[in-house]
Amino acid sequence: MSELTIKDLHVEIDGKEIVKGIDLTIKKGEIHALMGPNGSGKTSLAYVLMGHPKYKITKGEILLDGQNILSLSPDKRAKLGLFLGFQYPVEVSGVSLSNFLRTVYMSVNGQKKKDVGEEVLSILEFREFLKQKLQELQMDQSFANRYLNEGFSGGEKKRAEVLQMAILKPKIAIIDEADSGADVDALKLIAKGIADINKTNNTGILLITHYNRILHHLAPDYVHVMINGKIIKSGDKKLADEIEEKGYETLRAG
Amino acid sequence: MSVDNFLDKIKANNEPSWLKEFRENSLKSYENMKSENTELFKHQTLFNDFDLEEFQDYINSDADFNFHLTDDFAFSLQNSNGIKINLPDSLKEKGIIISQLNSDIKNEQQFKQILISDSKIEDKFSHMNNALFNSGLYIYIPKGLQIEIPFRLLTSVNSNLISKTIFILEQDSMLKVIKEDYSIRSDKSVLFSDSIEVLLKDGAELHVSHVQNLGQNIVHLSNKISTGHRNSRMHWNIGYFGGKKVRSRVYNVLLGEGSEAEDMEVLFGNKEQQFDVFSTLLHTGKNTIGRVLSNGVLRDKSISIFKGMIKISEGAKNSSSFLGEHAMLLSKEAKAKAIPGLEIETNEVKATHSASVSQIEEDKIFYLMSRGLSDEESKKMIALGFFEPVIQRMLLDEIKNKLYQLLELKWQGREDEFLDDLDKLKTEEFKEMKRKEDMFAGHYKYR
Repeated sequence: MSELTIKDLHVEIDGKEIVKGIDLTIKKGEIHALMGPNGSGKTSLAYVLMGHPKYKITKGEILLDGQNILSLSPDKRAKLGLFLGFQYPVEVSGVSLSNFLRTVYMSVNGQKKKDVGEEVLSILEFREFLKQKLQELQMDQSFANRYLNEGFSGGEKKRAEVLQMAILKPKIAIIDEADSGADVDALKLIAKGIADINKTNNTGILLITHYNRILHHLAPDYVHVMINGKIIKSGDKKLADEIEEKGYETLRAG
Repeated sequence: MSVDNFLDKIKANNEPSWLKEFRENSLKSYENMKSENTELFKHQTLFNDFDLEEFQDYINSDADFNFHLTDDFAFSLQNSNGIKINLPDSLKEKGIIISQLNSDIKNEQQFKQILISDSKIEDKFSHMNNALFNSGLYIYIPKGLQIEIPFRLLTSVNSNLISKTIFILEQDSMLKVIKEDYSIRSDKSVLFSDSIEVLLKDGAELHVSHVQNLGQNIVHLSNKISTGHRNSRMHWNIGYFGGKKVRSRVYNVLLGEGSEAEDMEVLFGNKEQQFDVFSTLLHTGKNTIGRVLSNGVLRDKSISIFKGMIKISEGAKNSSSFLGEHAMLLSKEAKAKAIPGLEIETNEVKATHSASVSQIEEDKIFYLMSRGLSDEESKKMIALGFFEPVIQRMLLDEIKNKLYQLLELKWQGREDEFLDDLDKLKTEEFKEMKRKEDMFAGHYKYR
């Protein structure tokens, strides 16, 4: 059973502690929402889970399927089945989306599939697969030939993140502010894309969000509230409704 | 041999008196011009002190190459000993000329005009080339003739070489040229001065794709000058990979109404390579269009300066011009500067420029690594992607593929593998080209 386990995680940047003891377990197939106001440390946590080099882990462990991944570089974590959907995906000029996706597909899935004796998609099959995914996300086929994220609108970038996730088929996906910059139609497609991978691939999801807008389209099994580097409350979907109604302040006070 | 002796030798070599005089004047101009101080290389004069005493004899004989070809497509093979030219009879019959500059030149009047007109551009090393060129080609395409199969000009530098290539394209003619520079593997410091001078008559079109992968023992001075008459088109597609020091000057003179010029350049430096690249668009005709895009990636301790200039004179109404120069640095010790310039003397024009020097961003690397690419793979994807907007604008698939191949090799630090068995490599490549050409029906068509 795949799972991501975070144990008593403490993180510093520039000598300042920003994650102050987080414990969280995400099992395969589960959807967790991590909510909190700006500056609570949510994005830092996401970066730390994926292995961004600028953070210093002062205490704690991150385990993926029981293996401590703290010393692993981001690419090794990706190959073990961890995915991060970025709040602000970067633009990479000169690299077409289709070439990029094919490269990362081969890089992450190529060897793994061969190991378990599964067929790796040929270039033609991959193209067909990509075409279908673009259709599902209602992205024009021309996106395949455009440079990675370059000139994409906010919503398009987020859909491209979901597309990448669909191709990489991670065990655990951390999705940071999946809906920022997306309009209602895009939001629905993004939520559907996340629900699809959760259902078809049994991917465990950690959905990081400030508002519960996306939670209207994607029901979480668990909701956690993070404030000032700590999870101060956990519950089910009702907790998200409570936040929508009363804001974070009452929780902070309580 | 001293420069004076060199000139004496040339004098004895039956050159017309105007050319002797031209050489002497050019040498004076070269010696009188101050040495260059570029902004990046403060207190450091990159291109001044050459030992001009070592030049070889004026060249007449055919060069000795190991190519065994009986092909019927046009090519030239040049090294520091001479030039071998192949021009099929079928092309000769149409009035196409490819000859050595030092043999009897037909249209001498045009040749003279080009030299004298180009020498008005104040460039120290253009003057030097004018004074001392000892090898080169004259290529003439008659009116209305369009040649689809590219001419192949291959230079293999084995010792000092000062070369000049003149193109004259008559009205409505079209030619594509693939020019490749390589060198023999050596540690000896060698000078290679290369001037390409182009005259395009009304409606003529020339594509020059230039791939330079010289060894890092070579000082390379490249001058490229085109003058375009009404509705002519000039395309430069350039890749600079090799050389110890490379100085490149491209001048496109948009003389005639409706003429266009485009200069697409990529540059990939490593180790201690030094580049000084300058591209100029001179708009003098109405409705002219100019476009320069130069992208370079610098690794290790390599340095480069990218300069550009758009000059639009008063008469060049309704012209449009673009200049883009972008450098990416892959190490802390690599350095680059991008300096665009504009001089515009009329209002009704569109002139834009963009310039940047950037480091490879940590967040970009993190993003790509989070998708399973290693640190090295991520950097490579970002760096090679940096060239892509320029390569995409290049015209011949053959050149795009060659550039991709060289970028890949250079990324791996294997760029000098090309130098080992050039003859064999080229023989195979030319055979392949011959095979492809046989699949096409003709070499040329009339407009």
